[in-house]
Amino acid sequence: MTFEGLLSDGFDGVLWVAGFIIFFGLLQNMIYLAQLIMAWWVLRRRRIIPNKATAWGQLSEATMPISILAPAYNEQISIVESVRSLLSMYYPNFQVIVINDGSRDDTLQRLMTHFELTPVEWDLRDDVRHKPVRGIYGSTLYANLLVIDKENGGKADALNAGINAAHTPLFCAVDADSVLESDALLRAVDPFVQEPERVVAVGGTIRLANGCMIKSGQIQSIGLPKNIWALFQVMEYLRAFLMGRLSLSSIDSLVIVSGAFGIFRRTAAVAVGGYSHGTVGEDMEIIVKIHRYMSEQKRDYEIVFVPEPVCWTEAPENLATLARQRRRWQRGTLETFFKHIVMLLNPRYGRSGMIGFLNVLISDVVAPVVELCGYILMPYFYFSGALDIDFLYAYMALTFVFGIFLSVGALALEEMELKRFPRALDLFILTLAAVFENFGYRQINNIWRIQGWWEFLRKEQGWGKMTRKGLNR
Amino acid sequence: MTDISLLAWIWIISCGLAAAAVALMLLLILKRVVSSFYAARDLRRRAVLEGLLIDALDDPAALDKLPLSTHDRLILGDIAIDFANSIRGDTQQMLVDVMDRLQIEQIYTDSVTSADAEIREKAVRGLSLFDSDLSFDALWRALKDPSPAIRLSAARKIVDSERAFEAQAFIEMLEIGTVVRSRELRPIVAKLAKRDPDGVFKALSATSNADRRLFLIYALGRSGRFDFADDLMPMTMSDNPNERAETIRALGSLGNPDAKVAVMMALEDRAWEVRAQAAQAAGDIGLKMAIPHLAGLLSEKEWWVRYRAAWALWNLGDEGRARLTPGNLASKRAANIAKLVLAEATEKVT
Repeated sequence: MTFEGLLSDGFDGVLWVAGFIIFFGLLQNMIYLAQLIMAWWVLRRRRIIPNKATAWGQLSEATMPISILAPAYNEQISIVESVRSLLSMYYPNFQVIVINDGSRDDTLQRLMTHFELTPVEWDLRDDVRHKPVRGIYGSTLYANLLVIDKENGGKADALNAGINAAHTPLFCAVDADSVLESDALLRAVDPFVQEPERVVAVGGTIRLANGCMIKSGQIQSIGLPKNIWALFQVMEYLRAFLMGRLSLSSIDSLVIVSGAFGIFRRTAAVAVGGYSHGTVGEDMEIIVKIHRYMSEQKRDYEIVFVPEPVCWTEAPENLATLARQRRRWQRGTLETFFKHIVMLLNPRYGRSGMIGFLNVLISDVVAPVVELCGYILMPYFYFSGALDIDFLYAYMALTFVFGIFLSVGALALEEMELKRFPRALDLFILTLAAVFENFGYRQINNIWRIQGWWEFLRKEQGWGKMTRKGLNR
Repeated sequence: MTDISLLAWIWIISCGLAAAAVALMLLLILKRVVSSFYAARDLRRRAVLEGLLIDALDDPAALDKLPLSTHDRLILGDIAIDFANSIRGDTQQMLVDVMDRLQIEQIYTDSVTSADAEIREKAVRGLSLFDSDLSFDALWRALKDPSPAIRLSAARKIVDSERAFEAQAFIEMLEIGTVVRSRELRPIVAKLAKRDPDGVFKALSATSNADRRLFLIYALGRSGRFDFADDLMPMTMSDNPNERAETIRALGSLGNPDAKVAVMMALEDRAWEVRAQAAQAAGDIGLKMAIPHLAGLLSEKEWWVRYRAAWALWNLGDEGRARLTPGNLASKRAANIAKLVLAEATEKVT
């Protein structure tokens, strides 16, 4: 059977299924190709602030005060170092608000001891909903540290408590176990400085700290992980942030800002009721809610991704933990997508609905299913003699070979514009990873996404256990 | 082209693109190896040139005897810019003399029109060291740079320079409110208004651009010219709530008691942003007659209004502070904000 038969031989189920799989793969790859080109264009035109001192000189007088919200649950091992790291941020006016979300370990006690916490009077607003607060503490050592102790309610609930406690026009949501580069806030706030009336949220790049040298909560040197799964994830993050988010942001279609590092205008977050409870994709959900609210209110607004402010986080190095994370991500995306499906291709929601949501539909909702079908059906059709070998070649080209082009292309973009990997050897290793991740890792990942789909259909809840080594090493 | 070849094309193009990407990446790796070599060489050369530059501060003529390439001059220019941030007075002048001798000013003047934004940015930073017509003209031209960030850099240098220029022309050239709307403009226009308040006022009167008006009203508030209060007063009746809020803020900054009627009215404005600014202005100009109003605002729905009102009451002395006693406050909102501000104020006082 040939491709010609699709139109001339009347209806043939096999041919139509194979044709759809090929067409869908082609469509998906064309979208990624467009994203790669757009990302290159945006990176070429971005504002370059050569170093920390210049950033301070240019931006410090124009910045707005920020509250850094760090939710913590059972973080006794790393909490002191994480808070120290946040307190050492290079930013003119900020407050660190740690929200102890009913930890069962010694997280609060460690904070109390190390930062000499005492109860303080604090006006906790009631703008967004969260579980009851048990105590509010200030530090006698650091005037800009506030700790909120509350009943356990999950990450979204903890962030909501932080929003109520924040008295600043902007807040920055971070993971307590991530490391921000010292000038990340200063650089990330730049879009708010340039377009103060329009920008409502900004996301920064997340990179993987596995293999990097970290001391006292600061990145000392950048390196690559020795673990193969973490290495593949380095490439994945690079592609997702540098190519996907940057390009979508440039056409006002960004529908996710990572929960590990995002800055929000407080009024916008409050207007949508803060973070939603009962979802594992609260970071995507709040952005979609903001898009939805702003469009319905006919407001002129912008949600921006900035490639340079970097937040370093630890990637799972074993398959079981990685699988749990990916299933959860898939579930979170599907929850948000179906909750706000009214936005899909609805002109009322502008580009976020017409492009951003369409991209989610193609890349996150349908793609895992179609790709899995392709892995099973295309070889079956070929070996059973139902299709020509050209179909199989075309399918392999779209899943394996084009994947190499996109991954290596994203790496080339990083090297041409950002140059964050210090050694030529790192680039060589990453090039190999960009090639080989398409043979095996991509397919395993797809299986986890299908499992995420299944969990979504079964309405499973919860985050699952994350096993981490800790960042200070 | 047959149908089969359509599928084959997918294979061929994908393989071609993947091969091209890998080849490009290998070239980039090679380039990195080469550039790392040159970077290390430049670093070593920079260490040598730093020493030469320090020696030349005492004896600039010594530089004439050295065989310096254009590349060396550029490295020296970079070093000089770095040095210039940490030295002042005579030493800075000596540094400028050395740079003059090396004709670095000319290199930077030419670089202002480079196609590379990074080079233009560096040129603008370098030019600020020279107090000559040549540099000033180049900086003035950079106000029209395609990159708003470079415009702002040039604007910062111009307002910090001692050269005379017209505020209105500067505002037009920089396209404030149209091309450049960054908050980075605030300190720039504030300095501008200190230099030429009348020029800024003239520019304000001549524009209807909403964003430009906000920046210029802000600037006039920081001009220190008490007498502008009368001219600003009508703007508190603007239809644009942002303009009303900015005007009230400016009146508060100027501290002119004649603004009391406008501030009292603004305490009842329909926009919370205006009420918040009015509360702060009431505290700034010592408006004791506003105390009952401010006490009422402590129960407002909008947190910023409550917060500013509480601080204004604190700033108004014993009479205002008495209204912050938590026991005297009826609503929970008022009591909470009073507690917060009392805690913050006491911390500041102690």
